[in-house]
Amino acid sequence: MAKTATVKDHYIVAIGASAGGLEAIHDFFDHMTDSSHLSFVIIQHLSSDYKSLLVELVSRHTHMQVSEAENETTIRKNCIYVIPNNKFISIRRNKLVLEDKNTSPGPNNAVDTFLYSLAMEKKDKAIAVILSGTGTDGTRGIDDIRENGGMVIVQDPQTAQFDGMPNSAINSGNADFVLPPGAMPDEINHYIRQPFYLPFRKFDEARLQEIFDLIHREAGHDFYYYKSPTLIRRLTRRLSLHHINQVDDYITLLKKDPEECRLLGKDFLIGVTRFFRDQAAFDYLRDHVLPGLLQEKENNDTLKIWICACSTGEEAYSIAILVDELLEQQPNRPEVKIFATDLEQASIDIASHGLYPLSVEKDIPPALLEKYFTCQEKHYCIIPRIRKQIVFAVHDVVKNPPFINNDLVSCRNMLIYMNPVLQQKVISVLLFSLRKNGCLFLGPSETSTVDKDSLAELHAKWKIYKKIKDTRLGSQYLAGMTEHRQPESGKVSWTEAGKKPRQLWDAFKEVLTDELNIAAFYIDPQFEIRETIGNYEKILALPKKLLRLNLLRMVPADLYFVLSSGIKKAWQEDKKTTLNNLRYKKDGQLVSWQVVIQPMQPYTLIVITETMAAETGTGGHLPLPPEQHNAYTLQLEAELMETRSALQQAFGDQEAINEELQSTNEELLSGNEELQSSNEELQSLNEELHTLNTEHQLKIKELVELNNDLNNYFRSTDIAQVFLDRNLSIRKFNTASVRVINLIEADIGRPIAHISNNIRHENFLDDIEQVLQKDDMVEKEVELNNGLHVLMRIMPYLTRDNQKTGVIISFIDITALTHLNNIIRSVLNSNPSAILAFGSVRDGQGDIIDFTLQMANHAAAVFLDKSAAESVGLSLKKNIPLLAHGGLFEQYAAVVQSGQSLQTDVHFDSGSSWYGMGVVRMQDGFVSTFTDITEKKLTEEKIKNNYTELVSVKDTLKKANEQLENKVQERTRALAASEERFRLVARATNDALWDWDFINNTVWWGEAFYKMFGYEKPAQRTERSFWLEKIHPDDREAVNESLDEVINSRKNQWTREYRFLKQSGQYAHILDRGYVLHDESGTPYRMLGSMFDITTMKNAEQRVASNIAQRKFLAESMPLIVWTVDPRGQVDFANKQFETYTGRHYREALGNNWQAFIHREDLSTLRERWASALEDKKDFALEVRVCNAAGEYQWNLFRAKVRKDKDGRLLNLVITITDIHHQKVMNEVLENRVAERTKELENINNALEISNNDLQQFASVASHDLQEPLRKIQLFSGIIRDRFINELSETPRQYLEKIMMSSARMKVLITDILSFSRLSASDSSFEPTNLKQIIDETLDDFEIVIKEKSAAIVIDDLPVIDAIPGQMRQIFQNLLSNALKFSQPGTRPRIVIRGCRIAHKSFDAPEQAEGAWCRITVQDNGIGFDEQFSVTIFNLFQRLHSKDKYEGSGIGLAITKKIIDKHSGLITARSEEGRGATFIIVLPARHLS
Amino acid sequence: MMKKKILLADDDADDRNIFEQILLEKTDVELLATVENGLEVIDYLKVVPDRQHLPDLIILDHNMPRMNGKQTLGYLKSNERYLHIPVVIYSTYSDNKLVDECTSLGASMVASKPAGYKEYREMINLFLKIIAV
Repeated sequence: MAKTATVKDHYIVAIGASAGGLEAIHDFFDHMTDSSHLSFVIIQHLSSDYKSLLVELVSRHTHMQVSEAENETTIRKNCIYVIPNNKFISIRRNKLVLEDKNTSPGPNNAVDTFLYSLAMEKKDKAIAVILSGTGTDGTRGIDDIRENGGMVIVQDPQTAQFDGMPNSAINSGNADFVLPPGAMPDEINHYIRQPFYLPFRKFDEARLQEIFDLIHREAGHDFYYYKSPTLIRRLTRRLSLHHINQVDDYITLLKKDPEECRLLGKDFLIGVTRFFRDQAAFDYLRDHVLPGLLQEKENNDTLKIWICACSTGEEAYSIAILVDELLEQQPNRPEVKIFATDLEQASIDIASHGLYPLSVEKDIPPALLEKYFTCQEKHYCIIPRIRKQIVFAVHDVVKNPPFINNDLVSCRNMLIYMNPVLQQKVISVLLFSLRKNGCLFLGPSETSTVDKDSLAELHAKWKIYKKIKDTRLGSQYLAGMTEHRQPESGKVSWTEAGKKPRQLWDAFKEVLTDELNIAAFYIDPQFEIRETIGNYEKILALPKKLLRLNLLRMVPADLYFVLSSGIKKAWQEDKKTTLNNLRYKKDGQLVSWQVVIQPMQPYTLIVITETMAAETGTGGHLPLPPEQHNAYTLQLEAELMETRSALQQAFGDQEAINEELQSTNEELLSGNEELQSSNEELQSLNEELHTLNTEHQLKIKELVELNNDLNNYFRSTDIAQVFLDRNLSIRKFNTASVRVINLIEADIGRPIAHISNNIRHENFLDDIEQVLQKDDMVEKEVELNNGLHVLMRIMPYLTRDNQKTGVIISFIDITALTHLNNIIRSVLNSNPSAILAFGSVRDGQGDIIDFTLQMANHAAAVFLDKSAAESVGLSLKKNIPLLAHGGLFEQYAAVVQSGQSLQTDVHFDSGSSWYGMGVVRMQDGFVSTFTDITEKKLTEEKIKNNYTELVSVKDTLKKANEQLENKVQERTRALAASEERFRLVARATNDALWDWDFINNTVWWGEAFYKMFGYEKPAQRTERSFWLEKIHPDDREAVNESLDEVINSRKNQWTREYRFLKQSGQYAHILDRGYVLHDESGTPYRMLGSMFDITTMKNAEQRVASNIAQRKFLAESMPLIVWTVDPRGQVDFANKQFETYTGRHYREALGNNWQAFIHREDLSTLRERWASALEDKKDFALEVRVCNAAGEYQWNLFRAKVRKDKDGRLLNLVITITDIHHQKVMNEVLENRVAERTKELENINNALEISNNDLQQFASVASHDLQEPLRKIQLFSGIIRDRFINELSETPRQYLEKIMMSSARMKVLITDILSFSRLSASDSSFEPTNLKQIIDETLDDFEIVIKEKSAAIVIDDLPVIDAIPGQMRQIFQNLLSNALKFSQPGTRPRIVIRGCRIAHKSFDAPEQAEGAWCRITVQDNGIGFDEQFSVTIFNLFQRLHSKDKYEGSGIGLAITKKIIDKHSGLITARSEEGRGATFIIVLPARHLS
Repeated sequence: MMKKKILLADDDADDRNIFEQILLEKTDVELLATVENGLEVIDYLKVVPDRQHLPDLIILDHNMPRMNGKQTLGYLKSNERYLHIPVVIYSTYSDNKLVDECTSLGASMVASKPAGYKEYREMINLFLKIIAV
């Protein structure tokens, strides 16, 4: 049941508070965490004179947006709206509506106003929260909220700073919860999540009765006849308030909690009333009903009105006012007595106070309000005159006796809560309470169940009736009163009488009561009348003031005492007592009563019979028995009379005093009320003061802070400031100002004029005066006596509302500034150049349109022919056009825009002068300097010319010089380098250096020589022969010759290779290079050289040469094209075959040219593979088409191998290209053929499969359908045989036998065919199958035959093989069946079954223990068969014998064969006629899939 | 003692006839009705007002038009109301496949239609054993 509904709705929470509410509001929002579906409106009673700080204060306590409500604001979720001061707030169409508050100082009812509109707008989505505050505001509003189904939470008065508003709200009984503010958010969230409206459940009638019983017991209210739906609605509401879902739970709660019973009862009795509710109805009453009633009344008559179910009294007062209004217009002044009754004590209490909240003013016409109410700050109070006309009493119209003889009875909107039975009853009571021609006033929605005979309708819509016939409140009424209850002991009930007897009884009673004037009463020990019978109204009189149905007070005063003592006597004696002939005067007639008093439990029955007494002339009141006619008796009588009259007198006095006391009491009460209302006035005043105080304190705090700030600022600033008031007296000054004006602390309040100052400015006071007069500000630079310069500023002192209340004088020290200024001015003026500062003038778009001169120095004044002072402020364009011409203006603008300074020479048209102009940006403007440079310009010209000449001469010289120098340097450098080089080389090289001096013919050898060849280094230069001798004899001559040749031919380079003997005896290959040096005359005089051992190189060269030769040979000898590719991917070698194949020179393959030979379609793939082979160093092979010598593209296998060095680096690719064209073409042809063939086979296969399926289907269906008729043939022929065999003669009997045999055979045939066809369809799976076990099982089936024929069966151990067990069984069934069937007549059949593993799939394969195949032989000694049939016996329907001899369908072996085939095995049979047969089966041991 | 109530469904009039004849011999068995296919079985059962009037045994021929024995069996065994009633399937030809399928569907017995009257009676006796106390 627990529904945790998601909240989709928008709930609005109205928070009403006044004094002391701030704290509660903070507490509330501190706890409001989840507010996503809520909006809040805070209505606080605010002073209209002060700006409220509530928005800021609340903001600190919530995450939500807090704003002051504005008119027509749409209420958004998760926001808080605060009522502005001086406004009324209400809500309409989800918008806040503000209205001006009337300024009457009446009590604030802003909360009521808003709650009323909120209740109308949001109904059950409205939540009212009443927080601390004085007064009663909100109390009426929550009534509206509750009435419309909303929720009301009131602050616990104990937590409230001011408990007026919470208490008032709680006392109204409308609070759903009374909580401290912190606990409210939880309850609100709970409420919106647990929707108020529970699904409308049908309450069990019994449960309802139980609840009514509880309420009746606890609260005394009786709801048995109230309309259930209304009650259930209220009940549901209470359930949801307690978060209870089950009625039973609630009943448990009710049992535990009497208070809850009381509250529920109160909820049931919800009172909805208003002044002049349904104005039109009241208009009708005033215009058409009441005048008639009043006219009948004389001055001393009483107009009696009964307002039944008056609730809080509004209606009673409304009618009282109407009557009063009407009475004023007519001469008669009857007394007006209004009884207003209600079941609820609380309502009666409210009604009798006669105090109503201010909001009632919208219900009451202003004139009436003025006239009949006094406004008491927070309430309207009904005037005492009207109040006194009304008696308010607690009265249950159902239980208590009615008031009688009323002129008008009003009972509005009570009947609608009752069920028809009760309505009927109440109507009859109301009717009874009316006098004839009296009027009944019901609510507009009451269903009329009125008795048309006794009532005439005056107004249909407003349900106003006139009583036209007397009615009686007979036993029916009394019966109704008791009907539903257990009759209490001793209480007489008339209900036992049946319907008809009752009528008779009624008639009898009527006669009795009417004619004999008998009335009976039941009274309780307090003389209260509990029930009546008969026309008691004729006998009794209603008491005047106190509405208690005390019998003694209702009997004529004369009889009071007698009756009282009589009753007491009867009680004392506890027996029936009769009082006879009690006389009294009624309307001038002597009336006699006979009273019978019968004490009973718990009530006492009193029967009064009234008769007209005969005038006895004695004037006495008591009957005088004849036997007492004597003087003594008379005397006693007289005494008694006297005593009685004295007693009566005393009684009268007593009553008068009593009444006086009562009226005094009422006066006291009203005095008390007045005191209370003035107390409330005081409280509301106090509340506003409190609010104000809070706000003031905050303001003061702010002010103190501000003051501190100001003081500190004052203290810290250097700017001297003095505040003067309007009279120019000192108000305030700071320390800095003491330097300027000689102020001391005591000067405050003294006029400024009295105080000496240090200002060298005699007009100081005038200036102040001027500021005060004219509002202007005065600003001046003044000098102080101590030489300081200050800027003096005098300003008016303005208040917030712009009132001038004094002046402020401030002095700012500008000495430093002035000083600086003077320096700058001097610097400027001492400068011979003209210096001008300009400010920009801009148009609307910000473009510069002009400049104004801001400053100019003396030189500038001369330059412009104007005095400096005069020039300031001039327009550049207008006044100094000279400086703006010739594009200068644009240049200035550019400088200002860009900030880049400008330095240029300018020439003005007017003269021949040249000026050096410098322009520098300065803020928004620029500074320009103009320096006369005319002479400099001229001199410059001259110098320039001279300089040009000089430069050209200089250039010529320079060139010559340079050439010389270069030469010298070159030489020097060459020499130095050569020297240096030699030295370095000699030291660093491994080569053997030598220096041959031709003149001495000696040679110097470098260190390396000895190292290289292993000779000892001699002490000095060696002879040349030392070297020559070591040269290989074969080379020596040639070397010598070549040397001579070089030297003689005057060449200087010599190179020779030769073999040179090493010390080790080996010859080294030497590369010797020499350089011949010649002297100036060209004679060679010296030779320098180096020997280089190239033995290793030589050897390597030789090896390489042989290698290459070998490879080349290989490459050339192959019938393949071979290329090699360097690591960059370029072909660097192509063999002869390439030339042969392509008919082109091998060079055409080198680099990337080879691509021309590859078919275009294959090229891109090849290139990719090529590149990736280089990248990844991976071999590849590809078939490509290569163009051959005939220009045809042939398929070639292009294979690339990667060669890598030992570090994995790519050395080269070797590519071979093989012609595979022929193979490829052949291949394709073959493949095509294979594909075609495959296709054909597939087609055939498919066809076969389909046909096979068809066949199987056919066989299966055919055998199924064939079986059916066959079975019938068997069945019925069987029946014929079994039942009618005796009726048949021999021949039909034989035929019948034949039929049966044929059909039996056919059955076998069909079964066999079916199982044969089923073989192919079978999807049984292969599993390890024990053949021995299978055969053993099969033999069980042949048990009878074996016994019959005494057959011997020998079975070897047979292997376990992968097979389909069922099919294996079938094989042996067939074979064994055949073996038994075809036995030799007269011979014991002997069947031998053997099995062994064999090496391969063949009948004659040798045995092998672990062979993959298995051979099983089934051998018998039967009739055998001709070997020529050894193949055909496995065909379908192949039979070798007639059916008569051996039965069988000829399918068995076919099935066997088929199973063997399916197991990929072999089967054959070997036999000779008459020699038995042997069946050999070969099966794989493991399943071949 | 209450007679056991049997419902038979078979499209073959001869079979129904023989069935009726054999059942007539029994005193403790009552053939509630014979219908011609599975749909009629369902229709018949649907109008049976309460549980105690439902048959004690249902015998279904396998090969029937519109709704065969196996389908009918499936329906009966998936319906809470009929789940408890033993069902027997019999057929002119019954192979292992049919036996397996029907047994797994909840058939109490699967039988082949016999070729002789005697066998027929024996078969019916077997069926009746299922519901014998």
